[in-house]
Parts: sequence; structure tokens; C-alpha cells
Amino acid sequence: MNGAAVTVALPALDCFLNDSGTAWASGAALPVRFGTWFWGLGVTEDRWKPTKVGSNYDIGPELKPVEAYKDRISILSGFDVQADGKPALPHFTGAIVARTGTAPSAPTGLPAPSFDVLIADQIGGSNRFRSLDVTSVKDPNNSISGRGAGSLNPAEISPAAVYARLFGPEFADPTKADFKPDPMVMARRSVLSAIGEERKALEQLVGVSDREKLDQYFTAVRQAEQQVEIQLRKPDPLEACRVPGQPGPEEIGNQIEVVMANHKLMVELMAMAVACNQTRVFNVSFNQLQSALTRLGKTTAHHQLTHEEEVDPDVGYQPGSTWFVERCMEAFGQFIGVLASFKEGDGTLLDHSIVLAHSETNYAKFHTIDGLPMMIAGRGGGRIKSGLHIAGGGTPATRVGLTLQQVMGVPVDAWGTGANRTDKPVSELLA
Amino acid sequence: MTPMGWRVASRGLAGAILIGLLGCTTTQQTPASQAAKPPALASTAAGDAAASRPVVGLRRLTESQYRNTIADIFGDDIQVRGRFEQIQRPDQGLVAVGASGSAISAAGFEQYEQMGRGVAAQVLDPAHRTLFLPCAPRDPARADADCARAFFQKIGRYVFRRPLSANELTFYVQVAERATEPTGDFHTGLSLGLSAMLSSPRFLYRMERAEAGARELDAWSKASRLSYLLWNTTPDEALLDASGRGDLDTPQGLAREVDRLLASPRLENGLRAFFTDFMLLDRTQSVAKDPVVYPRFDQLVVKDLSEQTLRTLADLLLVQERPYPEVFTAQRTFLTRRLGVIYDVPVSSPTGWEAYEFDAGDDRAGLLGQAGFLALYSHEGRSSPTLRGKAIREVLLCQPVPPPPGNVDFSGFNDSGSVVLKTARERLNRHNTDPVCAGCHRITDPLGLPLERFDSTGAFRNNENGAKIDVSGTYEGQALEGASGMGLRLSKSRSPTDCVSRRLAEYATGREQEHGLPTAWVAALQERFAADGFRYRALLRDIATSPEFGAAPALPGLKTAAMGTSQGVRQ
Amino acid sequence: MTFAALPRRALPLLAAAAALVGGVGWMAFAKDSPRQPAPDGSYGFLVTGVVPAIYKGTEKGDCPDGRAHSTLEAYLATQTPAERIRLQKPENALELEKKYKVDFVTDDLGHDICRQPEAFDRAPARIAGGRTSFGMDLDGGDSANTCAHGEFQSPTGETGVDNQFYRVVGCTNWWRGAVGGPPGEAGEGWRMRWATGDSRAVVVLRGVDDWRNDDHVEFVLATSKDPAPVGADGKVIAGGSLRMTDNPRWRNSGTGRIRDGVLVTNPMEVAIYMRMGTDSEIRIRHARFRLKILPNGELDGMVAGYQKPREALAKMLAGSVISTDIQLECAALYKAAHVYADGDRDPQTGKCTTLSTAFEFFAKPAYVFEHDGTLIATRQSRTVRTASQ
Repeated sequence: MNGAAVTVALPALDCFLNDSGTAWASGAALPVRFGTWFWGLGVTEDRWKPTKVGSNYDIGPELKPVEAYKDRISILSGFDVQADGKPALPHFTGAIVARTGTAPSAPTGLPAPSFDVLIADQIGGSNRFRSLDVTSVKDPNNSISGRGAGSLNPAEISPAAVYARLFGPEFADPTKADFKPDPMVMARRSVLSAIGEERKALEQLVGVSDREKLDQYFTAVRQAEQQVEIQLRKPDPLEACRVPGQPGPEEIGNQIEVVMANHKLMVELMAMAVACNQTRVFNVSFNQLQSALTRLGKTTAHHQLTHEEEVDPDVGYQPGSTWFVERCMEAFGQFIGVLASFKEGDGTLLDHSIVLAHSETNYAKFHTIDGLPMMIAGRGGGRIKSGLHIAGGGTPATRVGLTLQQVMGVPVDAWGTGANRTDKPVSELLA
Repeated sequence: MTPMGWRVASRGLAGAILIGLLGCTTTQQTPASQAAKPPALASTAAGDAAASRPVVGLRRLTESQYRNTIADIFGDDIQVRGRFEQIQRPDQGLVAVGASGSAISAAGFEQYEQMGRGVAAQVLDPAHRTLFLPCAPRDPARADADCARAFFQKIGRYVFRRPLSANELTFYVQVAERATEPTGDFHTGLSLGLSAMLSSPRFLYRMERAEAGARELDAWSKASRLSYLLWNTTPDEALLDASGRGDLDTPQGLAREVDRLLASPRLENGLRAFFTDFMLLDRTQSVAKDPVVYPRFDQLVVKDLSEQTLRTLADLLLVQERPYPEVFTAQRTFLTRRLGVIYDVPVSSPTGWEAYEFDAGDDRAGLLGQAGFLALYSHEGRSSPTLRGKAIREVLLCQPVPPPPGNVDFSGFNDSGSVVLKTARERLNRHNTDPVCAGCHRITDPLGLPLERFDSTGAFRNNENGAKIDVSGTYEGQALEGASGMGLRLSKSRSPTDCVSRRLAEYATGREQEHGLPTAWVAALQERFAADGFRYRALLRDIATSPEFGAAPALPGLKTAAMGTSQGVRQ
Repeated sequence: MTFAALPRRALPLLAAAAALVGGVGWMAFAKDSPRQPAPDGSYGFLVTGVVPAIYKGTEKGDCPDGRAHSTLEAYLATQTPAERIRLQKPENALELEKKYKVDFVTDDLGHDICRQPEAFDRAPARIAGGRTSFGMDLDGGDSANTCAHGEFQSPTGETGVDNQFYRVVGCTNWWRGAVGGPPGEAGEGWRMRWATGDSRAVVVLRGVDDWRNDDHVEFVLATSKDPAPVGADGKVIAGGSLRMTDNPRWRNSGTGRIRDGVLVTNPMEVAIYMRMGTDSEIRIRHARFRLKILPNGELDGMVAGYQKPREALAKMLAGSVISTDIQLECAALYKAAHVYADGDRDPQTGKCTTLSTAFEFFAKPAYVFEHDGTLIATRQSRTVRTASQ
């Protein structure tokens, strides 16, 4: 893709902003965006977790790649996941609880909606896409986002496909002055609204479990209709929005260099989609829940390494595994860097976003899910504090999901089920 | 072979069928001026009845079913462009069962809607519309309800796999009308109407219906079950006709249709779909190996992996009509040149497939010697007896292996670079000194270790890290040697045949034993499969002609739940 | 037994197997093809390289008189010292370029110095005057059919080595590469032709009873109809299947023996297809192969023989290559090639018409088929798979 077009930030065009630069001239606040960033196979805790709690925390070797953004990233340690009487499913339970608040009983699907979907329902309605889901590895099922009931929001794996979906013919360029609603889009809206009208007739003929599926179907129809409605409105002019060029030839695989390159293309497109107000919620899965990342010429992939590599007695950690953790952190740094490169109002896209990064295990060698490693980047337009190391002290990891839902405006006072249920937000985070 | 008459006609072969179907030919389209009335419409009574029946099952079309269905209805020159939201495979189960519980996400619907629009636009483009439209609009810039009605009535029966009701017909005519207004084009409006039909849950899901209180599915639902089970596509003209006549509700009529479908070459499509699902063959497409360690294993090889297995199975089970257990011992297979490199055998044709027969006594016999199986259940850089053994247990024998305990301690397990522990067997033995691990590894490893002479790509080797590989193993208490020994044991065991018959029953009904599939029926199928000499076609026939196959499941919460089952509360 | 008289052991039904190509499922199964027996004692190989054997020792030792001139150097040498200085000033770069890249290498009739070297009268190029080179003792000291020439010692100590082609080109930049650097593009260029499948050939060894010592084996080198399979790492892979050409010109057979695991052939005539930008061929007269049979079944060694000057200079003289690209004063090399020719003495003129030369030769085990799909050679060192071993 045209990297230059993405990373060059232009000075704020004052006419679009209010005097303090925090809102559009029309009075609408600069939108706060929410994203998740997943990496698989956790960390080596004593190389990742800061020893000092609070601000100006210390940086261990595995956090080194994100050091440049230290003041905009909070590290969350010591927040625990409970298997809640169900089997602790290796590489699954940790991530699923963090996202849905509910311990899964089988290693497939989601037991409940993921909270990013709940946030998207709250804030994503006025955008063309309620949320965008991408992964940098070749697996469209590499997603932990969805409404439950057997469906996952499939992750895009191809930058070219993402580009076509975002910036193809149906993209209404907010940087263009002229706007005329497309008659074909008007016709499509009427079709979608007609499909939605069938809901009642169909739902009265089905049983409970099928009704749930039809509910999801008609929710999806309604979202598609909203997407189309947005295409019929003149888009707001957006300062940071630049329509990027078509990405070049792509390679998709598990080999680390390939994954990193793909990740870069993906997050640039995604950030551009956010800057162009095509979506306010985004989910990135860097590698798999059970990371299949490989290094060229090495017979052992990331996941195998975590289990089979011995702790080097001289240094006290697994050198091959920690290398992969560092690459994951490097990728997170890459993502944050892209968000920070978009100037918007009085800050950057990163400042107006909240991104939760998390893994599915703490120490992958033993499938530990206590102290699930999490990081929060961005300030959400001043809604949260950043640059802190917050120690959870063994309290539920679901506190983080609860906090972020509340911060993003979801009316919820408690979240999660069973042992993972909590009504205590992480107050240290709140501004 | 071609269910929809116009598919033949589109290839210029059988105009007569087209006339019979549409009432007008492709070339002699009825001009509006000469025919104020479009072709007379059939009664919607059958559709009214069908559409009002309660829905007792929703099974989402798989990608291949969607594609086959579109190709059969509209011709294979109509392109389906888009990405399909994948149906989640249940733990230890079939995608076909997952399809019964599969919702459609917003992103998934977006894709379906886009694909439907793409298909509809092609169907009604100037090059194709004369094949499908039985009439011409009075004014191409305006809506024409009569012509639209004639179109939807004809097409709708194929798309929804049953006749439309009067309400549905009116609905789609109105959708097309509403879409004609802003676009000012009859055909565009009609194509958007068709896209609404293709985006409807009635198309995307196979809606299985039963009369309130009935024990059986209605004939249309049975027809879909038959067709998707046996051909992996939508019911053809003859099957729809048979449903309309009520043939499928009599044992004789049903058997006649089953036998017709079983005799068709299209049965191979059904076999391919089932075994792709049963053996997870779609996953071979994403198998990747380290190019430095395994330079021979590239994308050309990957492309051929599942095809080899499917060709071998179709040949063995449908052409040669051999018993299913020979899947594990058959020496005959099909190869391309690139697979020949992995198998280390000569392949004469520079392109395409050719039959190849391994020597008697060659370790490379049957499914367990195929690169697709061996490579799929390996790590990227080396083989894995545990993954292979687990796959044999779970996939081929229907015996779930418990997951590793969450707090497992791997510290005793050295990595493969170990100079002391040269073979996988030695490494696993070390691993299994921990009783917590040994419990499960005892279940998996003895089945995978005999395959160790095949590396991560399925290529043969005698040594690992310079040490001779020991390929002894045990299965059901019997000692065995190597992949061929394993295959031989499996071929003499009832577990694989019981497994495939159980899975086929699940595949046919979209239900698992745990969720409404009658255990007694499965047991009976397994016995009759044995009695019939394990012939695949006979098993299919047994399933398709069983009353259980067409039975309506009871659904809690449905006001008009079917009777006669033990589960669910009638309300 | 000659290759042409190979018994056709494999089966007419293979034609039916070939008919399965591209057949889809059902119909394809209707026909059957029995498995193909591998002819006993016949082993196939895929040639992975026939590459000029470039010796690069010390600069002083190999080229005591210095490097052969490039076209620029050769052109400047024709000018007065003052003119040389003038032309090399930056402001005259364009003029110089036209002079040596156009005027100096083309004549009034439009001949190119590399395409029509005969048309130019140039002094012989500077030759390699060293004592060491790769190659074989081809004439055995016999002078009946040869012309007087200096002989080399091989780097491994073999004496009497004939390699007059090396003598002619051994001090060009094209051959030697930069001073202190790796050998020049002469080798790389050829290597690439094989790696990309532009050039492709197979070897069949027949009648092998013992891989260590066998008094009589038949050696066949032929162009392959099929490109070599290339693996995920971009290299040609062993174990593939290839068909031999049906063009008799590119099917060469000879005899030889195996001594202590080294195959040595009797002199044989060799012509195989090679693509050098355009269709071309390698011809080696009275060629002898000396190939080590490696434990992994690969062949690694050398082929030496005689080539006509034009054939020997093929890379330089090939149609698509022009003098400006490779900076060689081809006509000077061509002249030298005639001066130093040492083989195939013309009894009429008493002049020799060919140059002794040597190539590295590599091959990997492969399955080889006749052009009609009949299997004629299985691959060497195939692992035997049985359940009982």
C-alpha cells in the first residue's frame, strides 16, 4: 500500500474543528474509538511485567519494543481468569473469558457475546461498518469476536480484500466535495429494509434456538441497512482521512516476517478506515490463540517451542520463546505507532482511541491463565489515564472488560458469569 | 444430470426442455405487445401450505453447497464472487452439524448480500436474462408486476426448494417494484428482487419444515435432505416434481428417487462433500511446511493433497465398490507429478492425475499412508505421533481424546534439537514419565508411532536424526508394525466402520447423537452396514430410505412442536 | 546394447494412463492403469547443472600478463595517449560511450563483434598463462589428432590436463570476475539456465549391477521434455518424473565403467538443448564424463571434451547477447580460439578445429520416462518401504 499516504499527517484544518480542537465545528465531539489487539502465547512474566506499580514503570526485555509509547500504554498484571468449574481449555479459556466474561465449556465458538461487540452496538451504529476484524495469519477463524451462538465474526486475512471492502466502489470519500446519493444504493436500501420486514413472519414459525439464529440474521440485515443509509448521507469532512492506494501483492502465511509485513498492511488500512470514519471498532488478531508462528529454517513453531524448549539455566528463560514474544510486542508497537501517526484535532488517532491488547495465557509453557497479560493503549479522548502499571492482585480479569464497556458508554454495572462475574471496575484507569 | 432445464439450454443443447419449463424459448421471447398477459401462473396452493408449516430445523448452506446450488440453478457460467463466513465445526463433530447451529454475523451477511447481488446481476444481464425471463416487460424502464410475478414464481421454486406462497410471491414482486423506482430499470429492479431472495434465510438456510404435530418432515424438506446428502446440491427438477406429487411420502416413491440419485455420477459430489467434512480435508489447504526443512513441499503439493484422498475414496467406494475397511489398506491411489515427488514414485503424465498402485507389502497403503493425512497431522517442522494418533482416534474412530490438563508441566519434554533423544518415540517416552501426561498419550501415541516413518510432509524415511525408527505400535490390544500394519488392524476393526456410519447419519440429519439423533437407529445402521459388507452406497441407501432420515425433530419452544419424541415439552 | 535399441518394456496401457490427464473424477476412474514396473538396473537422474569449470587462483599466477581487454580497454588502446586522456574526461563521457559501445564493436555493414566475430580483424586476446586449471587429460599425450599446446595441472594434482578454452577466456572479466571477488558471471549465467529450467536434461544409467565397481554400464544423456520441478526454496528438487525428448539429435549414448564409486565414460558425442536467450545447444565432442556417485544418489563431477570455437564461446556469441552488455571483445577471443585450438586436426590444413574444455556436471536422482510415457529408469537410492523391515 501507499505507505506515505498513510503516515504523513497534515496540520489540523481549523475550519473543521472547534476552538479547543476537541470537537468538530458542528459541535459533535471527536469520536472515541475502541479496538482490541490479540497476541497468542503470552509472555515470560519476569521479562515482561514491570516491577514498579504506577506511573513511570520499568521496562523489561519483552516490553522493550513498545518503550517508545510507554506514556500512552498501561500494563495490567495480576488479573486472573477463572475456569469456573469447567475444564481449563488450554489456549482458549483465558482469551474467551477476557472477551466474553464467561468460561467456555468447549474449545469452539463463543459462550456469550464478546464485549467489543457490545461496545460496537453502543458506538458503531452511525458508521458504515459496525466493526472490522482482521488477522495477520492465514486463518479467517482466528477471531475472538462475535455474538455467541456458534458464530464468530470472521477475520479478514487478505489486505487486498480489506482494501476492496473498505475503499472499493462503495466508499463515499469524505474528502470529496460533491455528493449525490447513488440510485443503486437507494434501491438496495429498499431491498434490505424489505428483507427486515420478514422478521415477524419467519420468527413465529421457528423454535427457540432457531429464533436466536434468525435474530442474529435480522440484526445483521439491520446493520447492512444502516451501512447503506450512511452511504446515502453526505459524509463529514475528516481531517485525518486519506484514501490509500491499493495494496501491492501480498503473501499470507505463518512465517514471522510474512506475518509482520501482513500485519503492517492490515493495521494501516484499518487505521485509515477509522480515520475515515468507516468504523469505530476494530479487532486485530496478530497470531493465533495457539500461535503457529514459525521462523524460517527452524523446525519448531512458536507453540511447540513454548512447551518443549527448556528454560536455559544460564539465563533463566526460554530463549526461542521469548524471541517470539518480543516479535509480538514489536507488532503491537507497530500498530500503536500507526495509530499515533494520524494527527487528529489536538492529538492523534491513538489519543482518541482505547485499544485493549491481551493474550490467552500468561506463561504458555504451563498454560497459566492467572495474571493474564493485558495492555491498554490510548487515552480515549481523555476518558482514561495512561502510562500506568496496574497490578490486579488476583482480582478478576473481567474487571477490565467491565471498565472498558463503561468507559465506552455501555450501560452495564456488572459483567461476566459465575466466578468471572464482577461489578468492580479498574478505578486506577478512570480519568 | 442437469436439474434445471435452462442450464442445459444455456449450453445450446436442449431447447425443448426449456420450452417445457418456461413456456417460451430463449429466442422467441414473448413481446409484451403481443401478449398482454404473461404466461399463466400456476396455483400457489402448494406454496401456501409449505410456507405456513413450522420450521423445525435451520441448516446453513456450506460454501460448496451454495456454489453448487447457484451453478445448478443458473448455470456454471454465473460467477459467485465473495468470501463465505465459515461454519464453525463443533468440537469432535461435523461442519454439517455445525451448520444446524450456525448464525450469520453482520460481516457474513454483508458478504452474502454482495454475492447474491452479484449473482442476480449476472442472471438478469442482457446475455443471460432471456434464458430465465419467461416474458418481457411492457416498458423496460418501469416495473411490470405480471412479468416479475412470472419470473419469481419460476425461479423461486428453485431458490427456496419449494413453490412460493402467494404472499411470498407478492412480496418479491413488490421488492422488485420498489427497487425499480430509483433505478428506472425493470431488469435492475428484478435483479435486486432476486438478490433479496438469495439473501433470504429461506435460501441461505435449508429450512426444514413439518406439519404441526407431524412425525415427518414435509416432502420439500425431505427432497432437500436427499439432494444435499447425495449430491451436495439443490434438488433437481425431477426431485421437486416427485415432492410435489407426494412420492417422497411413500416408501416406494422414496426408494425410487433414492435409487435414481444413487445411480447418478453426481453421487461423487456427495461423497466428496461428506468425506471432506468427515476427514477435515478442507484443512489440508492451509497446511504449510517450513520451506528450508522441506523444500519439496510447496503450494503445488498442498493443492493436490485433498484431491488425492477424494479421488482415491471415490474410486474405491463408488467405482470399485469395495468395502469401506479397504480405505485403510488400498494400494491403489491417484497421483500428480508433484505428489510423485513426495511419494518418491514415477508419474508419467506431466500434468493431471494418474492411477498408481503401490506394491503389496509397501508401507504406503491406505489413507494412513497418504500425504494429506500425514502432513495435516504434523507440525510445520516435524512429524507428530501424538497429533496423528489423536486424529485417528477422534476423526476416524469417533473416540474423543481428553484435552491436556490446563496445568500440565512440560519441563520434562526436551525440544527436537536434543542430541540425546533422537526419535519421537524416545522424546515421548521421556514425556510419559509424568503419569498426568501418560494417561492421554497412551491413548494417542501407540496409534501415531507406527506412522513415524513418514515425515512431516508424508515423505518416507527410515531414520530420524541418524537413529533407526521403531514403528511398532498397538491397536485394540494387538501389536502391529508400521503404517501398513496399522491400516490392516483398522481394516479388521469395527470401530472405523461404526464411526463412518455414525458420522454419515449425523451428516445426513445435521444432528449429533447427543442432540436428537436416535441412538438405536445409528446402532441399526452400523449393524446393517456390516451385514451389507460395508458397501458405501448401501449405507447411503439405508440412511436415505430410513424413516429416521425424514423424521421431524421435536423442538422446545416451538408452539407447534412435533409429537412422538421423548425430548422437548409440548406446549 | 545401444540406447536406440532399448527394449520397450513398459506398457502400451500407459497411453491409457496418460489419457487420464485432466480427467475429472468419475469418468477418469472408468479406465484403469496397471502400476508401472521399474526396469531393473536402470537408474534415472535429472541434470541440475552443466557449468563451465572455472578455476580462479591468484591473479598473478593465472594471468601473468594481466586481464584480457574489455571493449573499453581495447578501444582506448587503439588511441593516442592524449586522445585517451581527452576521452576519459567526464564531459566527453557520451562521446566515449558511443565510440566504444557502438563504433568500435560494429562495422560499416552492421556486423556485431560478438554475433559476427569473423567479420572483425582483431589481435588475439590476452590468454591465461598460468599452470593450473580444471579439466582432464583428453589426448593422453597422443599428438596424432591434436596440435601442440601447453597442458595444465589440476588443482588436485592431475597432470596433462587439456583445457585450451580456459587458456582463451581464463583472463577475461566475464570468466574471472572482479579481482579478489568470486568467479565471474560465466558460471553464474550457466547455473541459472539450469536452475530456472531453461536448460533441462536427464541421464539414464543402464545395466548397473554394482554401484562401487561395474565394468560395463550404459550412459545416456538426453534433453528432457519436461522442466525440472522446483521446490519451495527455489531449487531444483530430486525425485521428480521427467520425459526424455524424442529428438534423436539430443539423445546421446555411450558406455563406461564404475571404479570405486566413480563413473567414467568412454569418449562420446554430446549434444543437448540449452536455452541461451534463444534456442541453442551444447555440443561436446569426444566427451568423457567422470562422475562421483554420492551416497544420496547424486552425481557430481565433470565432463570434458572438445568444442568448436563458436560453440565454446556460445554464451558470448549467442544471438541475444551483444558486446555492449558483456564488454567482451569477442572477435579477439575468437581469434585466440583459433590460434590455441588443440583438437580435431584437419588433415588437409593441418590446423586444429576444436578447443579442449571442461564443465562441472551435477545430477540428482529422478524417474525418467520415454517421451511416450514409458518408464525407463527408476531413481537411484530410493528408500525401500516395507512394513517388515
